[in-house]
Amino acid sequence: MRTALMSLFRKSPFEGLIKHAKLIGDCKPVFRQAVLAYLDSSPTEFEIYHNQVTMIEHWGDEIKRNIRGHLPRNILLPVDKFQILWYLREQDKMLDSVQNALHWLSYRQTEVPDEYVDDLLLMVEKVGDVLTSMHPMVVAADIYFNSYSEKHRTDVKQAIRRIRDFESQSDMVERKLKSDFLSHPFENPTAAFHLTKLVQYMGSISDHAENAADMMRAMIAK
Amino acid sequence: MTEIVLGLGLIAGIYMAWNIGANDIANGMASPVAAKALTLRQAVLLGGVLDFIGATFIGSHVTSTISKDIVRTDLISDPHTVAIGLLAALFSAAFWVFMATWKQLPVSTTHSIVGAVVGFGFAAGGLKAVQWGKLVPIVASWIVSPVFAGLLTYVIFVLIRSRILSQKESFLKALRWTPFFAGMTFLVVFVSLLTKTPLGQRLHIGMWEGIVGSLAASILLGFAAKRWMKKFETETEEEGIEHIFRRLQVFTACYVSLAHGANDVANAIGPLAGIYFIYKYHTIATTAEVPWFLLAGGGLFIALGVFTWGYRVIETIGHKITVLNNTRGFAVDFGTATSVLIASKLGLPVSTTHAAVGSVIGVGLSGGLGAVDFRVVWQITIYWVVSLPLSAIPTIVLYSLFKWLLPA
Repeated sequence: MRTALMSLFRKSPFEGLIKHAKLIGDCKPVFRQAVLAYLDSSPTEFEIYHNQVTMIEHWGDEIKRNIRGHLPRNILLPVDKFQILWYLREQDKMLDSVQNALHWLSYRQTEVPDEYVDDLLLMVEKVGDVLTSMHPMVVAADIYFNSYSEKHRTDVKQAIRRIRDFESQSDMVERKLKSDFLSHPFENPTAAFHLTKLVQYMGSISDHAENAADMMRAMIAK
Repeated sequence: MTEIVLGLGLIAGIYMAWNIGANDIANGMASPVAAKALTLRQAVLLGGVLDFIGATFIGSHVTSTISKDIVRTDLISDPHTVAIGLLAALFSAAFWVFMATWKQLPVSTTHSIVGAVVGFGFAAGGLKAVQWGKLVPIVASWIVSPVFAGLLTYVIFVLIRSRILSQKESFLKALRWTPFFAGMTFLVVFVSLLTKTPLGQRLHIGMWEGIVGSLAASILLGFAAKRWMKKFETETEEEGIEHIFRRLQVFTACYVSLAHGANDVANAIGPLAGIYFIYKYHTIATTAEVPWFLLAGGGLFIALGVFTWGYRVIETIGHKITVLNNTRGFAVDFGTATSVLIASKLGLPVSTTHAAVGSVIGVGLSGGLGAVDFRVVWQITIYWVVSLPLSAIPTIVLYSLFKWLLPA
């Protein structure tokens, strides 16, 4: 009889989501170091950080598959399973976008004009803020789904608001950088294309974070 | 020869009672141990004592259903045939429960004994000898019991969630609702103890007197519980709420043990009571009450099962169901116990395990649990159904063997 009762309880997908979000946060310093190495024209150092991000993305994929694999039909969750899977997809796309940004950088060594370096680093900073703000949101959501307390719901909403703010800030820097790169008289237009696309990849990290936050908002809606 | 049948019946009854205590106790006592509302030792002691009380003072109605109603005693009129048939049924059910426990299959002792008695009726008098119509409410109760327990638990948890957990100043709200939840728990326990029970009869309490008295006592105790809960101070509101429900959970867990004793003692004592009457009066008992000492004996061996083996089951399960915190644990235990006690009052032999499973699903449906696997319900249903033939077939074999070994 104990078997039946015990096998009713399955592992909550939030455990995996928290681990996945933690990995996203771990990307922040690595991503920053990779961009700094790139700006310093140190390809060997850049490759070290690039490889680290690739590894983190790989672990993230494993966690994602594990969550999906443990959510067959007939598993009952406190939220709609479709919403959880959609959320996971967006959260995972953040890791993909970090990896894509570094892949993209690795294809070509482009000299970033000095006057844009600070803005580019600001963009890295804003993206970093987005990367580290996912984990607190998922942890808060996990606590909320255990307690259903209004206070914890407010905590999740605050975490969501923070992500939206960071996304909006990174969006502003992204638009400015795109405009600057496209109007700069680069000797080789490929440089403009390379840097614009890089900023776009970085911006998509924040976009996916915002999508995930929106889905989280839907999940905690009463 | 009847002494041998009675002696063997006692052994089988004792073994069955021990099995019931050893394996089912965790249904109620594991979650408070997991939530650290009770220590293992307290859980075992409380579980054993309350199982004994439930079996002795509340259990007589269910016992009568199994032993008298399933088999047509007008067609199988020979007392010796009935005695060895009941003996075969008891051994067969005990053996099946033992095998299932060993293999960790989710079977119910209640269903096993029903299947075994059906097997005896079929072996002794053919298809006609089994009151198939009487099986309908029993089979229906197997569906109704988890569904009812699940619905009740769903409603309880939705109420806790919407009226307490999601509210601002949730601790104050929890205190405000304490008289209701505590009072409801007291009410069901008192009504179960005082109406239509040997205890109620001894105290000359009628049904309405019992209900009104229980209601009054429950209201008073509910408000007393609120005053008591106010005394505990905690750092956060959530801790405070868990604190309140931890105490209520201990009470509901005790109440599951009580319900378990009341309901499941019939599985061991029902057939034994039948054998005892044949031994004593050389006639088949159709209307007589089950003697109190048989119920008390059943309760004693259920308690012994709890003390000797049940603690291991609680320990194992208690470590695993950490997902049930006090609010969920209270809802599950309340739903389980209420549905089992109501079934017990109606004379229906329901399974505590299935009511507990229904309750867990109820909390899951109300969004109270991280993840609940609905497929297990199907697995349980299969074991549920196979329990009948798998305890009936050995009964047929054993009946034939006893008939040959123990002639009248």
